[in-house]
Amino acid sequence: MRTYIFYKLLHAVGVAFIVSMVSFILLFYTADPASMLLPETADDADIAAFEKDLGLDQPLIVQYGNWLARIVFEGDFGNSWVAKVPASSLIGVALWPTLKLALIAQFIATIVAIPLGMVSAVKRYSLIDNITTFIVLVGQAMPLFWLGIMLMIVFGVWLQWLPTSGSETWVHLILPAVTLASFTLPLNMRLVRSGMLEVLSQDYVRTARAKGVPRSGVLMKHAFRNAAIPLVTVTGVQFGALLGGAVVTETVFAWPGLGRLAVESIQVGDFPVVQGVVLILSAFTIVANLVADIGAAWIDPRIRFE
Amino acid sequence: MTGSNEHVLEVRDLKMHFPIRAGLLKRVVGQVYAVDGVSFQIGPGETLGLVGESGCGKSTIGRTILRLYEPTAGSMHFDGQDITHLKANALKSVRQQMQMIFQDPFASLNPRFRVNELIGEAYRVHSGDANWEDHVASLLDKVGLQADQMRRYAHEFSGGQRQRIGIARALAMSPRLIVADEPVSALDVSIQAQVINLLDSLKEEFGFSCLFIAHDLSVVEHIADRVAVMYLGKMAELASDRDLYQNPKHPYTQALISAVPKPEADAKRRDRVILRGDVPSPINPPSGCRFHTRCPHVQDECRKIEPTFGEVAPGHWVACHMHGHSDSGDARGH
Amino acid sequence: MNNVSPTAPIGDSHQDHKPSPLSVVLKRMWQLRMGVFGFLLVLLLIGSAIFAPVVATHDPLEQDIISRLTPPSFLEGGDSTYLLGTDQLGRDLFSRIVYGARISLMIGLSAVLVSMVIGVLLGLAAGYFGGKVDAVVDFLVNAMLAFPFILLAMTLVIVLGASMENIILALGLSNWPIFARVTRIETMKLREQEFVLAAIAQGLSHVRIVLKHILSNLAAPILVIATVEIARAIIRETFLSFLGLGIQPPTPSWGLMLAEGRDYMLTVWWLSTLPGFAIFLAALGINLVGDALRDLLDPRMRKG
Repeated sequence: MRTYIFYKLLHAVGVAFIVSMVSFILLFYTADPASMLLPETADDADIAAFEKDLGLDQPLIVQYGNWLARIVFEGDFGNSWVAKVPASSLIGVALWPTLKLALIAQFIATIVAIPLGMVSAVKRYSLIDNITTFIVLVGQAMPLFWLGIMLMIVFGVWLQWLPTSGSETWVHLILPAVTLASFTLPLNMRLVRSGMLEVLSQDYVRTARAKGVPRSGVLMKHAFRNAAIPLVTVTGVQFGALLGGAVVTETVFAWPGLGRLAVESIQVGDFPVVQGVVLILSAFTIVANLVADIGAAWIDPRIRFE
Repeated sequence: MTGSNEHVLEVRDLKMHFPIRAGLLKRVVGQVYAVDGVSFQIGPGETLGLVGESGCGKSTIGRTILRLYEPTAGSMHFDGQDITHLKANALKSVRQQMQMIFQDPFASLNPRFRVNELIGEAYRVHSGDANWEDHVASLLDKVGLQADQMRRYAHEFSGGQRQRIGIARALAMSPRLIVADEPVSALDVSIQAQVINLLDSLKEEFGFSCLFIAHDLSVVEHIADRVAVMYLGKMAELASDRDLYQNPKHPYTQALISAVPKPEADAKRRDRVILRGDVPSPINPPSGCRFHTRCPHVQDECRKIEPTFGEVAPGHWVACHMHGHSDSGDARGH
Repeated sequence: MNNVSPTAPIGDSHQDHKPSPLSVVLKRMWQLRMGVFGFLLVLLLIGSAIFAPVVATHDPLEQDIISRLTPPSFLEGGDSTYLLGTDQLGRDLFSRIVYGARISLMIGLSAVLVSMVIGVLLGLAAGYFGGKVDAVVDFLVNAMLAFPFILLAMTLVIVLGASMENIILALGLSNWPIFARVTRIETMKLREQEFVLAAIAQGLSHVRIVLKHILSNLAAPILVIATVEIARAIIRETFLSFLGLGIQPPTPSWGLMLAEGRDYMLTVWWLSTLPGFAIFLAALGINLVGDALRDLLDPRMRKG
């Protein structure tokens, strides 16, 4: 097990490096801080001096190294070109709202998916099963921001039950969280259902039933644990997708999280902030994958020996 | 058999080891000694049966001969040409002379291909014959299928029929040697006899040599001229068909033969030789004679010294300490 | 058909009573009724795209300020000339939606094509040759999957500029890992199959084996994935347009219409809702067809 974890860690660090390199290169080739920050009257000498000041005349590798070192050791992502404050402060403020949103959404998705998935696997073609199938079909085709807008219109404008933007109280969280939850809900339901179906058709389950073990006992002990494995793996992978969905959701509901920050920064070309957000989001995705991989290997020992 | 020099296939001291990799950097931590020093020849038109338990290396030999693997050591000569490390174009042309019939009639045929493509693809590519479908039609006829079936897909046929397709494919380029890797193991018993008979008559008609691999002695009895018995990567015994069945010398062979059920009411009541223990792993074979852990006649010597594979009677080879290699043919002695 | 008795004449695999071909087809269609429904939706999508000039009632770019913000014809205050009402510049919503189908379809198909070509080639190489090639490709795939897709696509569009070709490129380049991953796994499984060994033993070239033997068996799973990805690409394009990073006005893109309508959401709700509904229907249809395809293609292979 330890070798497995070590290998996965190594892999994750490698991926993180690649991501950081790509981010850096994108910034390097698209940004032109001199033209953005210096007045138009600046001549070549001024530009050269400016660049030397910022360390922009160094070779690429050195700049990359400096940049990476500053981020890792000092948490310094540079300054926002637009807001003139450190990018890390903007990111720091936006971090928790996004995490809150993502975790609640995933929580909702999971607690809805598991019972529905299990019931629909056990009672095939029942009403619950049909509802589940319907949700899966519709959910996968639903453009996330359209759903958000529709929910806003229905619950925020027509019925006036829920607020549509801002983030002061927990009530504000409901609409965005439900919207985001619908993003991962269909896949979770499908996984639970198909995992359960597969287990229930196994011979050892039929043997247990034939021996008279009551259905609930069989379900809880064997079926659920086996069905949970793909769910755990996918939850980790889904976290990355979830963050992508958060970008959309936050934009629609004006939720003050990383997603909205990223979108606004991209639209105005504030690259240090964009970079920082991309790095943070990628870091979360990598960590989530890592945890999911290790978790899955812990539950199912066969994985460790592949 | 020291026969003519014109062996179709000559294998000398063939070894095929597969490395086992583990750990972070995939370091080699052990070897699977699948084939560990095997020698034999096959003459023109001759069928050699190769029998043994699962894991004894017989399938590996078949695949190595066809150069699906590259031998770790030893040599193979096909029609006098050294094919052990042949590459690329030379290998390509030799490959047309050697063909294989696979065990699994379902996995060995591409589910996306129609029967005519399955049988005739290589022939068409290598010969460029514009009338290749006529050739396919005649092959189908020879294996007992109807030529108008050739536009169907493989999954529309039964297991026995698919195996016939596989045989037709092997014959398509008129090879000198066919390696049949357990061709009937996956078929129902009643079909097995049909397919074996088919192979037998095709052998007569086309004149190819055949290495017939099986895990069951009774399967090869009818079709093989000579039979070889393998155990854990090494050859235990090699003799003519009749000699092997009537006068088996290696204890392992004797056990195998005694296990074959004989339906005749007046069959001699040979004592069943029941082997103790499990087959050891080819990763860590036993010292000395590999069979010593299960042999009912095991001696001290067997545990330490590996017996050589030698000729104890004309055309009859054994690797066992009980059978000396002196010319007197005395069954005892070291 | 696998239950033929050994004594049956070889090649005779028909049953005694064959149902008429028409009833077989109809029965199949009922079993796959969701897929048929999806197929109809997709036909609607493709039809709108191809026959837009015929189906649309107005020029989608033509403005009629006097009639701006007219409700759809089925609502109070609606006008039957403008079936679904008009937007803030007086352009007919129905026509814009119909023309929007063109944009969505074109982008969806092209982006998936780009992803597919890149992903399948890399996946084939990785799966067939294994070793170092595989390690490199696998690593790349994992690295790219760690990027939040949206941000990658958005950044690419910023860097390259927002035009239709660049959007296709951005979407295509962001999504190839999915194809690569599936192709790689399937190729590795296929490589071990005996029919591949048989092809090698017959002296066929690697190129031929990969292109004919392996690719022919990959077509099914790749097609299933491609349909799902087309729907996703369409949705992503609409989001990019929604952010102003996609199709530029005045071209009618469903996402752009959603964005423009957002400001009027409180009163003129149809401006956002109806284009969104179109997106939903398109994605739903494509997904249903994809599901049906998967059902159709899988059991047949397993039966054999």
